[in-house]
Amino acid sequence: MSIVIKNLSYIYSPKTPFEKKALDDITFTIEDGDFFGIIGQTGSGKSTLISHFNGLIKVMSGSLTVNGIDLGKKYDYKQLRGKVGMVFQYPEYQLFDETVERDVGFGPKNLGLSQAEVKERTVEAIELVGLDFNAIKDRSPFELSGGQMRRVALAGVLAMRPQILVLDEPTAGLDPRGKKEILELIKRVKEHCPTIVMISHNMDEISAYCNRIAVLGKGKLRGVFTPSELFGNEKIIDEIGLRLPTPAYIARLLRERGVPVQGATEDELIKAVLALKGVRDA
Amino acid sequence: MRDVSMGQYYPAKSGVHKMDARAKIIFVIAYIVMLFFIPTVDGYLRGGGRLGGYIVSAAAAFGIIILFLITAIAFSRVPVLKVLKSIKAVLALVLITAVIMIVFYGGEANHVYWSYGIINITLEGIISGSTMAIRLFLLVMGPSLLTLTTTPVELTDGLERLLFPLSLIKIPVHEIAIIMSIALRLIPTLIEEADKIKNAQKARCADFDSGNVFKRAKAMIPVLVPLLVSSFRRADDLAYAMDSRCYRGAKGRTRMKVMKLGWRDLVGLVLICITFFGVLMFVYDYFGVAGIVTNWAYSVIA
Amino acid sequence: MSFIEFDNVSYTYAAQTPNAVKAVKNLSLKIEEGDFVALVGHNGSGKSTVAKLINGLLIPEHGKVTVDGMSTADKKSLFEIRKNVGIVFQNPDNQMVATIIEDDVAFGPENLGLSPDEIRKRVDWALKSVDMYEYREGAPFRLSGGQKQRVAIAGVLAIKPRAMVLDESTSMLDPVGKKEIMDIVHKLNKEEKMTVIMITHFMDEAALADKIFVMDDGELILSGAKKVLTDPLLAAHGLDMPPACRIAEGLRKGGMNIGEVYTPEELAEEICRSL
Repeated sequence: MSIVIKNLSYIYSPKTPFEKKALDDITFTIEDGDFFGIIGQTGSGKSTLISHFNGLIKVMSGSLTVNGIDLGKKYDYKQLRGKVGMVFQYPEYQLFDETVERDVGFGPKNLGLSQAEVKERTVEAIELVGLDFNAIKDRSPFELSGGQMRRVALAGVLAMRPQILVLDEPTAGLDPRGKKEILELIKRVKEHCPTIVMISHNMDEISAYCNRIAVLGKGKLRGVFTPSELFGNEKIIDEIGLRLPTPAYIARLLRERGVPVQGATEDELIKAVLALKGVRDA
Repeated sequence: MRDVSMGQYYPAKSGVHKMDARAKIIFVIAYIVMLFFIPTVDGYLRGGGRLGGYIVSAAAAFGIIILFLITAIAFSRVPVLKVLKSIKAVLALVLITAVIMIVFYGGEANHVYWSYGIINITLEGIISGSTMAIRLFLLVMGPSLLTLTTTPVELTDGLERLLFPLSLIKIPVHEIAIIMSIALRLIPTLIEEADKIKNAQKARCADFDSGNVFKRAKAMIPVLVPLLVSSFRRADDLAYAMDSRCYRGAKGRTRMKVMKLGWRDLVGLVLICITFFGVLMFVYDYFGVAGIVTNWAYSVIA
Repeated sequence: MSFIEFDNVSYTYAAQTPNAVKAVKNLSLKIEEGDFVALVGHNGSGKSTVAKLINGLLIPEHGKVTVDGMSTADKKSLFEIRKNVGIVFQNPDNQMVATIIEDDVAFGPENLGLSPDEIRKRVDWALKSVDMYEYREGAPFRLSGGQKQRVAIAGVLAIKPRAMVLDESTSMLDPVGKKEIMDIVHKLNKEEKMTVIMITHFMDEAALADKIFVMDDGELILSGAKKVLTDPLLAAHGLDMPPACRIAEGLRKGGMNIGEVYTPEELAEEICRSL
């Protein structure tokens, strides 16, 4: 269930005055079981890249193989989209049906499954996102709270039982409590859907949850790193213009003042500073 | 990022751009009226004219209008191709209608080429179809030039001020104008949002491309409902924002951009009057000009 | 008498229907001119309702909201009140009225009935203040979120209010956009002496304010200077303290002498001093 990307490029509106090269020769692989992060400034090509994964954008140049399916050749798009679930920003804006049950069932229904199958998956998905099926199934999605709506939208994608889940800024617009809840939810979902790809601007989130991170800048791939590799690499951070997670930022401020510490998380930083103090006191 | 260029504003610093929007709107209306002053072949023949006379008058009248249009385009510094692009939208429709008219012409005809049942291919029919096509193309290009040289704000402002007398009989002119202006502002935003929603539903295997008309219409519900819901929310937000910025309708409201008629508008007025007069001259044969030209043409041909 | 006062204010959405929600309960607070205030709380704590109560978009069902002595319940005062307090909302797309940026910024002054020259002057000044002057003849839909919010701020600035409320104005922006807005807001408070009321759920933004109000479930649970951010009551209501404060706590527990800090910069200073 991996995504293999080779020399992928994409140009919007080619041969017009609005031509824009969104992706430039991207090559990397998302392995099965990864909690994979994609970061980069607005306009770096992140959305264009993930839109390739479920076939919303046709491969223009290069090759892309998802789950063994070569997206450069003819393929069954329903099969692909059933395996690769995609959740866009503010997914609650796509809710439309009369009841929560029907909205969540939209995906499985489009896959052509039997009524019994659809029902089974709907129940499963709604429970998976932490909602009570019986309490919520007949309610209109529009009378739910913001947090509930987002969960229902997520359930709508999970009901397709994807093997790869792609999320574009899943915590956008949520307050800190809401953010934590959604991220923990996604972590739980990983047990059912082994591979997760997450775009985020929030460095604290990325460093806390992802095991590998791809950094995009102006359509080019700057590299794939682990969190500690990335946040210790000042060159890349500056080049891309990323915002460090707070502990790493403080560590950097200290290094600038001649205090040599590293720390990507709060605990790491506290330990490092205390250790240094211990050394200096001695 | 879609580029919505249907008569979209083309920025340039030309004389036409600088004209008062109110004048431009009135000129376009006059232009459209002129186009319909030119009679159809059928009408002309039934009125006692000869085909040759019609060809001359119509050609001259359309010619004058085309000259006017070319002059306007030249003064506007908008590329001719941009203006011609506006025909694209109606091209298919007009051509099909013209062909139908040529093949099934039912008016008075003295030069029949081929007839079989209801199929009636005549010279009059060909001329009729051609003039209809020309008239419609010119009809589309005029307002297109207007929207290319006038910003939506100027247009709605201009309309609002022109329609001001209606507000005296309690028609809410200002409110209508601001509704139009906000609608224009929101069109690209709504299109973008519809795209996003469509993609989200596609990700859930929604199918927008296959099936007959009814199936496709039904498939749009998962896009239209969220769009409608978000539009209501948007309207609410916008109303709060407007109120917060001291909006209270037309009461006491002034404008940053003032509309003042200037010498350019006078030039435009003169040109439109000349054109109008020229058209009428050939249509109604003022001073017998049309008659003279027709006779000369016949003498040359015969 | 304070510039903005809430006196025992309550407000219920959808009152007298089965979906009634009491969003604000007996809220009292005072804001002086020139203050940089942060109003923090979870989504649903009532803070956005407070924003709309300040300038009379919503009228309290109990209690009174006054701006410069005028009550928001008094319809005749609303125009004056809104001249004094502007609001920048959360969604960058839903605040713009016009198709051209300078026309949108002119919307406010036009409503005030100013002369065309005065409006032009204000629009140019407002756009320059938010560094968007070069975009003035362009259209809104090509801008980034941060840029759109800057234009929204310019639209409010052009009215020249004495106070500006930012209702979660950065929550839909990326980090670059957030920083742009926070920098401008800070500048407005320090240089133009504008009263700023920032409604946010980001504790690190709240740390930049001088006065902090904390809300939960429609009630004011804490108010005061920055020290409020480290009050244990916050945790009891499910709110975090700013990350810099948390790290400082951890260091203090480990025996280091760290003074009062709220931002990463302050913390770095203190650590250096203490080492």
